Amino acid sequence: MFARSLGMRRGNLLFAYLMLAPAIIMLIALNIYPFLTAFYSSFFNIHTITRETTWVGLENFRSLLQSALFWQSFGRSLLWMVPGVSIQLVLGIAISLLLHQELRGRWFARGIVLFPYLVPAIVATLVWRFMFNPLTGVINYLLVDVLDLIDKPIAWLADPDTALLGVLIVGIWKYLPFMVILFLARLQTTPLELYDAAKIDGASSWQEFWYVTLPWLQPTILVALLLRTLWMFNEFDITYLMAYGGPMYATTTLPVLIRTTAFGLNQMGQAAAISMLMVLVLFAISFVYIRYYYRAEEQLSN
Amino acid sequence: MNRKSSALLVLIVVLAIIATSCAPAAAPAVTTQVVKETVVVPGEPEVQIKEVVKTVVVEPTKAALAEGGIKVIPFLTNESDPESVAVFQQIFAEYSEQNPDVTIDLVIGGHGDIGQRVVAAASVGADLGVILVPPRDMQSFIQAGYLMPLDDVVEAIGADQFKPGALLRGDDGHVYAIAYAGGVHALWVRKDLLAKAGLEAPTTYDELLATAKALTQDTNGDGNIDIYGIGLPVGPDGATGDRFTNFVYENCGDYFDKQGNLVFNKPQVLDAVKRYVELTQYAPPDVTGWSWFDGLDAFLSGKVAMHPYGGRLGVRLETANPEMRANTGVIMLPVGEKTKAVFASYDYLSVFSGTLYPEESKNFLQFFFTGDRLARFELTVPGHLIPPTNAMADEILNSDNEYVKKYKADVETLFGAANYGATPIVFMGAVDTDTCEFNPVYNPMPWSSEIFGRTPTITAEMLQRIVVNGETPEAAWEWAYTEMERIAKEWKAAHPDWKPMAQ
Repeated sequence: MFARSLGMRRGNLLFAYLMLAPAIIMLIALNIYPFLTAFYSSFFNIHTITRETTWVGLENFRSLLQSALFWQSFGRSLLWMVPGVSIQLVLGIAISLLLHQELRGRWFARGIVLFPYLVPAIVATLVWRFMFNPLTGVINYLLVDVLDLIDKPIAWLADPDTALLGVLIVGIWKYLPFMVILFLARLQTTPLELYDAAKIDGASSWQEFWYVTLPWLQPTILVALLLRTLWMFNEFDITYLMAYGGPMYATTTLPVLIRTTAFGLNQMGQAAAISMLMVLVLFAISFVYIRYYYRAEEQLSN
Repeated sequence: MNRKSSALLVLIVVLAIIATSCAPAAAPAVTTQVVKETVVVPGEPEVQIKEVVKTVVVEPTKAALAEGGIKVIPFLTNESDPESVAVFQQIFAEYSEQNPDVTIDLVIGGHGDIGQRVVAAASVGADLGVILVPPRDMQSFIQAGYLMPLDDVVEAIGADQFKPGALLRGDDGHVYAIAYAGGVHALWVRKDLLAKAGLEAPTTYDELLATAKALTQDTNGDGNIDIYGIGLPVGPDGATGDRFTNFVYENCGDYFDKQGNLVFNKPQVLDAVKRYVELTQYAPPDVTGWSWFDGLDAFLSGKVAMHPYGGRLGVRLETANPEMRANTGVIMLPVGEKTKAVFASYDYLSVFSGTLYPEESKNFLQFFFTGDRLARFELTVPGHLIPPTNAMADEILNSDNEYVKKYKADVETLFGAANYGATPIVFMGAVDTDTCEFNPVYNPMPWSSEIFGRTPTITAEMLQRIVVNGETPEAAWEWAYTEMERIAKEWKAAHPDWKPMAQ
């Protein structure tokens, strides 16, 4: 009896592993193998085109840590990521709360708000580049001629002082819907009795938001923050397509620097080293978020 | 069948799909063959062909193909004009009609990412078939073995007809790429604005500067400039670097001499830098973000009065605004008086060495370069696509094409400018910086990828340092030539046996 039960359990275990196999194979092929390859490559000087390879040990890392361009790009990555994620978070909560209300036409509004997320990055960047154009763009037309807010058109993407801001505006516009969808989905699962109890206790609308809605949203906020932080830090297409990393590196974030190093300077090993340093940063950020996530879940269940 | 069995079956199917997709392609066979080898002695114009016995790797062709299957040859290009795409498709269809077992598959890549695609395909064993090769990456591609020798194709279509630099050879003397079209920058000028200002088309740099100043105008009196005198990019990529090369050449400068020694540090290059920067004061404020098409768009929208560009500008203008086109002309870019030379560069077609169908790919290339096919392609953007042979240039100028008939003088100007054209990538040392003589000899710069392939390019960054960061032209120029010298030195140190082809 016991032996039969053990055999069945073994069979089930084997079946479970078999069912997991495709996912594990894909994970190894698409994540672990490329990661290990990049890690290994970071110790070599590799010419991207000819593939001439020379062992250099930690030289790639040493030269990166002494490179002003690397640290400037790292700083710009933070400048792109921190305000970008923060503004998306605040606006995401605000818009999701608005769309959660019983308003006329909210179904239509919910559809419209998704639009930027559906537009391919290349299309979005082309349209925004036209809109930012100081000669023919609608943004300068509105600011100068219609609203009379500024005297002269701004060369948004051509001025190092405004280029990153211009790219950031597009990034926020493009990815805000992701936050809205997540928060809206979570809001729809809020137990209504919590609001009833708060009302009986005489809570104001602000107190309802602060003591009921926000704690309920907290685990979702942490997941959204984690994902958006990782994605913003790794974002390449918008930052590159909007301003090609310029002018004078003003929009060169770490992913753009990786591209330039790998395909412009033909230094694949050095580019791999930058990606490894990025992994370290993202790992540290993820670690903090995940700790807070479990703490938030625990508080909520208590 | 119970749930567990069904799930197991699905799992087996999934694993089988994964295993199949990971399986290597049919292995190439190593065999001994008698092959014809073309021998080119540097400095000798005669091409010698001899028969040698050698071991070659034969890629699978029919063996990899199911009985009655179609051989699909990818054709990787960045030519995305709708008219060009339509003609490509026509030519592909004509080829398939003659070769029913072959289909040519058009693959359009971005302007700057063809090189990346080739490297990626070579790394994973994907087939690219016939490919457009950027000149700056050519020598690295040959060195890495990505390209197939095309001597037999050139022999079949006739090597003599091609202009200098239209056939790209490796150090081994083999032809690896054939030019299908060239590009040249000339100055497009709004003749109506010139007439209104009482000016003639500029013929010297001083006149150009004065014209750019005069045409920079606030037309509605609101204090903001409405039309800028000249659209001159100071962006991060080759759109800026290529135009700047005109300034270098015409002022008796160059990047390296024929032996590969740096000459960008000569004072005439500094003059070129100063002239370029001086003109940008009459350019729109966003030129520091301009890439290939931004100047074209600015001209088409009537916001700039002059712009150096290829023939595409005229063709686009004819479609978008025929009236403005009628009031627009094109002249040689007058940015220096010492040397009559302009930047001009060919685009090349080659065959990817890892292709499954090498013979069919070469056969198609031969088909494309013979008959009226190449001329039909060049006429999709008349004046912009400069033919690699003089005979074809004459054929185009005398064709029935409506645009060519209407603007024959402009097309002739563009074709004529190309006769004084060179690129430092393929014609290293085209300008003798001591005598100012223009003598382009096929002499590829092997380290060009690191100088002209990066973003920002070295010259673009040099100009941005001045225009954006406010550095002095002297400081930025010194940074640029120091960087170029370092790259060349490092390359030469890694390739001590290298000798320039022009020797």
